[in-house]
Amino acid sequence: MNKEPTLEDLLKDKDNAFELLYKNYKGDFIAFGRKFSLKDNEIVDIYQDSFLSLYENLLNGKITAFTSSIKTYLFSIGKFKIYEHLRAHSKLNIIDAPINEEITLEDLTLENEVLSEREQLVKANFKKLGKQCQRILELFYLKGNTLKDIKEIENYDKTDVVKSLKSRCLKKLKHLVNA
Amino acid sequence: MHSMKNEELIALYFDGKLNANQKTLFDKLMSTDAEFRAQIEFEKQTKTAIISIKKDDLKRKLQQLEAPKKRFNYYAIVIAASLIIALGIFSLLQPTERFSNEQLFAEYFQPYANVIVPASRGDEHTNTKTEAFAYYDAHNYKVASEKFHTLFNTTNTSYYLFYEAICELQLGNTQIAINLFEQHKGFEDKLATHRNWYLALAYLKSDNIKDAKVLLQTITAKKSYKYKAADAILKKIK
Repeated sequence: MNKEPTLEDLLKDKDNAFELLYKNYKGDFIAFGRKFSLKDNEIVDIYQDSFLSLYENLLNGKITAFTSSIKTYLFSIGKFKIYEHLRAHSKLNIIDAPINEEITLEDLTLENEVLSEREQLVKANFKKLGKQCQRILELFYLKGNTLKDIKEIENYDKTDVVKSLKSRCLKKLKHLVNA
Repeated sequence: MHSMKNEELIALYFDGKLNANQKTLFDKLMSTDAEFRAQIEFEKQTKTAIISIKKDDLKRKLQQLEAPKKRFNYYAIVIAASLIIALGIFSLLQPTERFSNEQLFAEYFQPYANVIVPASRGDEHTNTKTEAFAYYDAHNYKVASEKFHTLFNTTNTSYYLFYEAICELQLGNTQIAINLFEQHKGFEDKLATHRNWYLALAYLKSDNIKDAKVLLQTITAKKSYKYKAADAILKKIK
């Protein structure tokens, strides 16, 4: 790939950043997965999972900057998941070595999420909120924006407007969840 | 409710920008103020929920990148067709009666009726919704699926997810269908029991006997939609 997208581009999925990355590295990843005697459909599943984990860690703020190429991140996460897959199918008992010492996966969330009942309820009801509420809450929780940043991004007059909007939206959500 | 000061503290917490004094205050409130603690808990759940929604979006996108090949690969269809014929001949030679999951699926799967916009309604007013269901009724599942997809994204009405999943199941994109049904679980609309039946069939088709069994057992236990058929399948996959 000539040029990888920036972290900001990925968060906004600008110019289909994920799609391009996905297509560009898929062949290499399949070749990589075959070394572990995995079937192609298993490798593709793991490849997709690796993208989701990368995205999750961008969204939850655990990756705030890339210390290496995105490809290295993807393959490091992918390798972790391949080993996990092999362990789950009891094909492997050895400890794997990292692809790149500069990337520590320890702090990242890589296990597949299982939402609690309550979280599922919040998720379902979040989708029922109006677009403006969804947008404000997304900006607030996902991208590490301060209330002041959101004021500027969304062109509000005052930070207090954003503050009360956020609190109103949360109340609405809570009301839906407890309904 | 909370004072503005507490709200600011919470905002800083989610930004990861609490200084030492604020951190002390935050910890103190967490251990002494139940309402404050509940608020933090709720906001954390909200954050998790939003991340999960964003991941679902990306997942669908990536799965769709994989899907077209499966839909349009002419050679695969030819090979599959020859295999089916070969298997058909083979199965005629087999004296014992055995059901493959695929056969069971084919025996029991039927697209769910359009109960949303019946075609008989002599309404000339065509909008995206009636259009989508018209394609569905005309068995044009590919176009219908795309329309349901857009409709769900714009209206967030859960029955569109259900019908999109049925289309994908019909098109043979079992994994996509399973994911859509899973997503539909978050809504608990009137189609919930119907969804369980179709999700069970989808699991069956993808050879996921374990999950199929669990769902089929739930259906028979609750005597919900298609419970007799569910019972019949359970006997066959034992």
